[in-house]
Amino acid sequence: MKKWSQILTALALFFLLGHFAATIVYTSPRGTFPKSLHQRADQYMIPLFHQNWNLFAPEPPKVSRALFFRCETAEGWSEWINPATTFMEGHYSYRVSYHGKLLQANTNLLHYLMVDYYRYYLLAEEKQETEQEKEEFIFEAMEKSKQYKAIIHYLQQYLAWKMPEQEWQSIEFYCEVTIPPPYKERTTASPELQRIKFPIYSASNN
Amino acid sequence: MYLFVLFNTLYLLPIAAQIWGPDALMPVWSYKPSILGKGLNLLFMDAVKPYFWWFIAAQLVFLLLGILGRLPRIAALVIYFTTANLLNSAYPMFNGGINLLEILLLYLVFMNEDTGLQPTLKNTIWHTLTNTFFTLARLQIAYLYFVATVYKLAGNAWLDGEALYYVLSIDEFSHPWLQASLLKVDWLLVIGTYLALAYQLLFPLLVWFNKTRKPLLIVGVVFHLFIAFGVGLFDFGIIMILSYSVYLSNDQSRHWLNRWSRGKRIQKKTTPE
Repeated sequence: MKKWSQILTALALFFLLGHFAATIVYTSPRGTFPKSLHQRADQYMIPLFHQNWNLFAPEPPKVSRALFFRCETAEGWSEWINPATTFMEGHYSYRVSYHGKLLQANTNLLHYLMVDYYRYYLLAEEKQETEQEKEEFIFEAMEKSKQYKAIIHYLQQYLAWKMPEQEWQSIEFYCEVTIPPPYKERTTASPELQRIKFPIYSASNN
Repeated sequence: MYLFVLFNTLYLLPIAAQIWGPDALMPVWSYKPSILGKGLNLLFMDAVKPYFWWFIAAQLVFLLLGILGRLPRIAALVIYFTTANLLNSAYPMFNGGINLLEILLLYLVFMNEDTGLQPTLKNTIWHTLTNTFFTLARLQIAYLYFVATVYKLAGNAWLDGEALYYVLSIDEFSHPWLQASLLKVDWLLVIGTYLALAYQLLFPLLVWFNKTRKPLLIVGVVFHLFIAFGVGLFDFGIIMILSYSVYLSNDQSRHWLNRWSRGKRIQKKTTPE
């Protein structure tokens, strides 16, 4: 039995070292190790041990984002709606409730969208001349973007959930970005507001 | 851990259809997993989505069995399988805390506290597995803090003592009461930022020593309660606190478990005569 115990201990140690090495490679920024090593670590880690520990790092979020949408029905365009308003109110009133989870989903979906948006924005700045060309370039790219489709899916399901009687034809949305003043100017400056528009989604064209 | 998973599912039940159903708010992820990954992402499949209640029911039943100590090995496996499927398919709702929860639930599958002390091959295998995954859990949590610190040191806001100001300025990660009170107190924001950074930096070093472990974990509980209720990341904060249980000694664990279990005292294991 002692022999078995030694074999098992050796195997366990081997697994422990291998697993920990894979964890280090997987959580390191791309380029730290050879690409093939990152790929092997991904194959092992993603299905069972996916992890990401850069919450609020290297920098904490420095902007607050809100999603506003409106839909077009036979009677015309509706008012602008922020789906997160009720989630935020619920989350403020009850820290332990599903409102917080809905708010987090809203925040994350918007975050993924804006990551795509800024990528295309930088490309447009590089490749296009006029403001109109830049906007057209971004709109065209966003319409094909996975994250734009994710927001449309979210808004469609939100409408079906909260306003099931609404027969809409198109959805328009924008992202309102609130930038708090830099730390050193927090007592003198006010938050800055930006509004970023996205292409209108038409049910008949899709 | 099982109590938290039970609570997490119960408080999401009112919006279960919006999270997991065929008309879920979350879009379907286009990630193409391996066969193993597919088994843990079944609720991404349109054909499986209508059966999401089966996953919830199985999870709840086996959570109750797990909490009551019945069929512990099967319960651990079913709890991991159903929880991973439910949480993975609602990925935009969750954060790193849920990643840690899934990893720890998987480790629990291989931790068998009911192993006998007789030197049989079966017992030796279980002892080795239990000790390996227990060590892995301890290393994982210490490593988590190490990585979080390294990433934070790569930026400016944490080193300049400004990070807490930015986090609390964001409505989604704050509370109007905190914004009205804390954001005006400069010294508290700076001290809070440096304390959070120092705690994460020191954790992977000090958690291994008996003398420093207890005060460190007490500070950690306060820190993560602030994340849970102040920053509003309830699941992240609570999972981190629960994960500290892997650093308790056998005597400390027995003491805590005896506080919760009425009548049935958890005895110290002794070698059979």
